Amino acid sequence: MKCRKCNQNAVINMREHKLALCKEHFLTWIPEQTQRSIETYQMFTVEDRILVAVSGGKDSLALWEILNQLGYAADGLYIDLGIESDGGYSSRSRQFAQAFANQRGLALQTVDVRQREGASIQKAAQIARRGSEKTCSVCGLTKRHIMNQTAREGAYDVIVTGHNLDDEAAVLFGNTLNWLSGYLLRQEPVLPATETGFARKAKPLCRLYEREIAAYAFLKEIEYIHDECPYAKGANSIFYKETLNSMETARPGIKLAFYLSFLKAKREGMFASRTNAAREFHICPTCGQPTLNMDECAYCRLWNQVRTVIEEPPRKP
Amino acid sequence: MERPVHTATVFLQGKMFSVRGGMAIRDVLKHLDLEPDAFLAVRGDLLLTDDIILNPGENLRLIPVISGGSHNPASMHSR
Repeated sequence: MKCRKCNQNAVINMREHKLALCKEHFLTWIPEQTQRSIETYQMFTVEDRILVAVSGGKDSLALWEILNQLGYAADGLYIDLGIESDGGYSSRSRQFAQAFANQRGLALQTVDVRQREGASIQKAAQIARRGSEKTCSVCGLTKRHIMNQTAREGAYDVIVTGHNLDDEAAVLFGNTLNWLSGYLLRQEPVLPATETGFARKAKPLCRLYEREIAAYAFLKEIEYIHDECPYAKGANSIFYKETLNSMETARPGIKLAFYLSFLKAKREGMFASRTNAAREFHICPTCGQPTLNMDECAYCRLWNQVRTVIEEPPRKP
Repeated sequence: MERPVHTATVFLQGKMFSVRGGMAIRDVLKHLDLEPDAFLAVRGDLLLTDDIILNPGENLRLIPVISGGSHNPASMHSR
């Protein structure tokens, strides 16, 4: 197969775009497409200070590389969740993120959840009796909170994450199957900053296929953690991605059409904001971050509960 | 006398599979019951399109591309 632009051997065939490209043209095409999304959804400009949430995986590191290549000022944030199963998953992820930053002279800020809160994610999930499968909800809550707090304290204009099209389509698929109207309403390529204290959040890779990002990372020789989080085994999101991939094989472009049609339908007034009207945010008296609770936010409640149990003296037999 | 090699070898996540040489990569993926959108095909340091023929005696590495597993996938897409 030949590159459509120069007739050299192609390295990738993107059936969804009817486009095969050689290495050189593909490595130009990916940043061009990312820039297009940044502009289309008005995510940020070169004037903005950007905080990239990096996990040590291919998507976030590829995103950081692309933003750097496009000339954006972007620092990294790595959140060490203390997941030590599977041969030290968090430690290994952290090493990939740190090595990437060091090699390119980029600034990476690391927040260690165990140092900050006194326990790892799995310990917190056990104490909160959320069960092993719910470790993901403790993880999501913790990451969202720390990302927002770090962005505010560091005066960053926007937090960016490496969510790709497959992530977006899988979430959309799950939310649609379960008719989660609130989540459907809030799934956007960019969420604006709010007066209550949420920083702007953007997903510049939201129109790029996961396979394209993996190919970009491979061709740019980005070293990343290939293993999946040990708590992700049997996860819904993986099942949704596999289901969508089998549909994509039969109908190339179906994932992109699914996501873009959803965004178009929202712009045209589907999912009216009735569900949004009920979301009134307050300020958490403990941490100062926005919350739907009238008192402490879910993050402070969770970690206060964890600390109380950890600091409790052992009961006498 | 050495026997001629008729198979190619596919490496995937620490496992090794023998497949008939002379198949296109897209047929190798089909043969192994794998979705083409979920893997990159690599020979040495070259990324390959799925029309490339895998000759007898050659090695192919398949790199899974799916990540981001979560039991609560919507949570990171919201506030």
